[in-house]
Amino acid sequence: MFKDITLGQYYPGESVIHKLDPRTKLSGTMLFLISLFINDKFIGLGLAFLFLMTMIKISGVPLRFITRGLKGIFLIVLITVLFSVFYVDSGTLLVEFWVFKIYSGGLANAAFIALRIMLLVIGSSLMTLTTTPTRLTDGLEKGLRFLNVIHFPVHALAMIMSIALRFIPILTQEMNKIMKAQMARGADFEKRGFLRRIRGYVPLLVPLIISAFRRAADLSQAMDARCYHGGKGRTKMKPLRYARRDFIGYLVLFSFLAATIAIRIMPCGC
Amino acid sequence: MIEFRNVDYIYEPETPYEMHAVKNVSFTIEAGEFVALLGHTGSGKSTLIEHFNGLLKPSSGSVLFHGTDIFSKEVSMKEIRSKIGIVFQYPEHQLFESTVLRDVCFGPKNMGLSEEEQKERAKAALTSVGLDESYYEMSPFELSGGEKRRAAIAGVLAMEPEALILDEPSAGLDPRGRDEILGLIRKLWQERGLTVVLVSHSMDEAARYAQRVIVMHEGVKKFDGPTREVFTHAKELEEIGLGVPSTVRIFSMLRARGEAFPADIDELSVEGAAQALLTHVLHKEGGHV
Repeated sequence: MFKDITLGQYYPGESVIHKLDPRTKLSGTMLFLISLFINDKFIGLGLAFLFLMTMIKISGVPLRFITRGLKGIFLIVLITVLFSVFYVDSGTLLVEFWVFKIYSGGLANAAFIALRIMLLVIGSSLMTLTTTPTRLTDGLEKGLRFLNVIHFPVHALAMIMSIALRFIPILTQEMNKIMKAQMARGADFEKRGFLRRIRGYVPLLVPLIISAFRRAADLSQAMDARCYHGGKGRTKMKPLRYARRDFIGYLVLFSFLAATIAIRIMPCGC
Repeated sequence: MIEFRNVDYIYEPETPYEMHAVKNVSFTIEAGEFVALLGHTGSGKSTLIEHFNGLLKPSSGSVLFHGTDIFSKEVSMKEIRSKIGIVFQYPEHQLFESTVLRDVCFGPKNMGLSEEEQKERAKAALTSVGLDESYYEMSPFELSGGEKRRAAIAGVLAMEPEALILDEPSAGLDPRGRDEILGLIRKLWQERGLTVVLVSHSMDEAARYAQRVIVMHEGVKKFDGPTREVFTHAKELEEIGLGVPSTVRIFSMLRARGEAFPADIDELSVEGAAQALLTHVLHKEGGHV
């Protein structure tokens, strides 16, 4: 079940997308997400879809690998779809049974929202799939440096994030191990009933939390031993520098955003 | 009792992380055997042991328990898991209950036994690993490293399995703790006729305790045979980075220097080796005097 988490996983590659400066990819993803919310027409989402598919194609990450991450959010999509199907009452009435009424507007709305959520998830996972966690936090730290002016602890935040990201695979692995050990003792993690199921997870969560604390203590000691003292005066071995491809990247991104806005204000019924 | 038939296992097939961890491995483990499964880190031995009780399903091939495929419909996985106990590496990391006794009861409880029977089995298991009544109500997290590990092994023993698979049970223990744990396993094997598979990368451990050795290398079964016989392949074992037990190495070095020893000496145990050396030295001195 936990194999499906693709968020935060890295897919090694040599493509232009992989090589882009993490700041470009971060702001690109932000802009892409914003564009999804600017859109109010199917044609706009169509453009976003095309844009995303082109990016995926360039990145060389197999589509199958990306869509695997969608399994995890299937339930969320389903719930939102159901809500909009039953709650929106515009357009023509299509089906009516008991207290439920389904309108054509509701169906269109549901499809629109489902598409939007899926694009949102695929778009953000493309970023994490093509950027190593280290580069990602480097990008965040440098990209948000201006916040230092208002004494926002950017470095600490970036460090926390990079540690958290680094620990996702470690803890996942740890969890799998503990899970297997408990399954070897006959534990069943697929129990029916909400409460029984929750209680069934105790043998997994207690050891996992203990191990997380143990690892945190070890790590803080290791950082201390190497004289870590926060971000002040700390230099990078590989400082981030924008290259030409990043300017092209920004150019592409802003033209995409402009097109999205144009579609939004375009007066048409589609 | 347990048979592996052409077992293949591939992790994350068709992704860049694809790894062919186990390649066409076949062997049969008979009831009452003490087998050492040897191999380097990454040799596929840890993947292999997860096949013993169906935690992993072979990508191809099959695993049979008493002649039936453990993934066939007639077999209940729960029963398989109680009959083939697996003690994973650092088993103390799986302890979670508030008291030692309750933790050991976890396995029997999952088997659906009555509360009295759970406790009975848990107490028997704790006794057999050398933890007496004073430990029952302690928190498992208060115990020392070696005690924790023994409590965790008791957690598997309490299901009264027919076979016990242990993945490096001595890892991270001091020499005394190591001898204690392995001595305990040998005792269980001798006294109860338990089938034991000891996964290890220590040749000395294998030589001391196992009757039979299976050597894994890069996912392939390299050697399989009686301990003494496998260790005659010193050169190949050296090549795959495993080497031979220190006693065997001493004798092969002595032989290379022209010392002659009879073929039937016990090179595998420290005691046997010492005896052979003593006889040899006495014999030589006798010759000179």
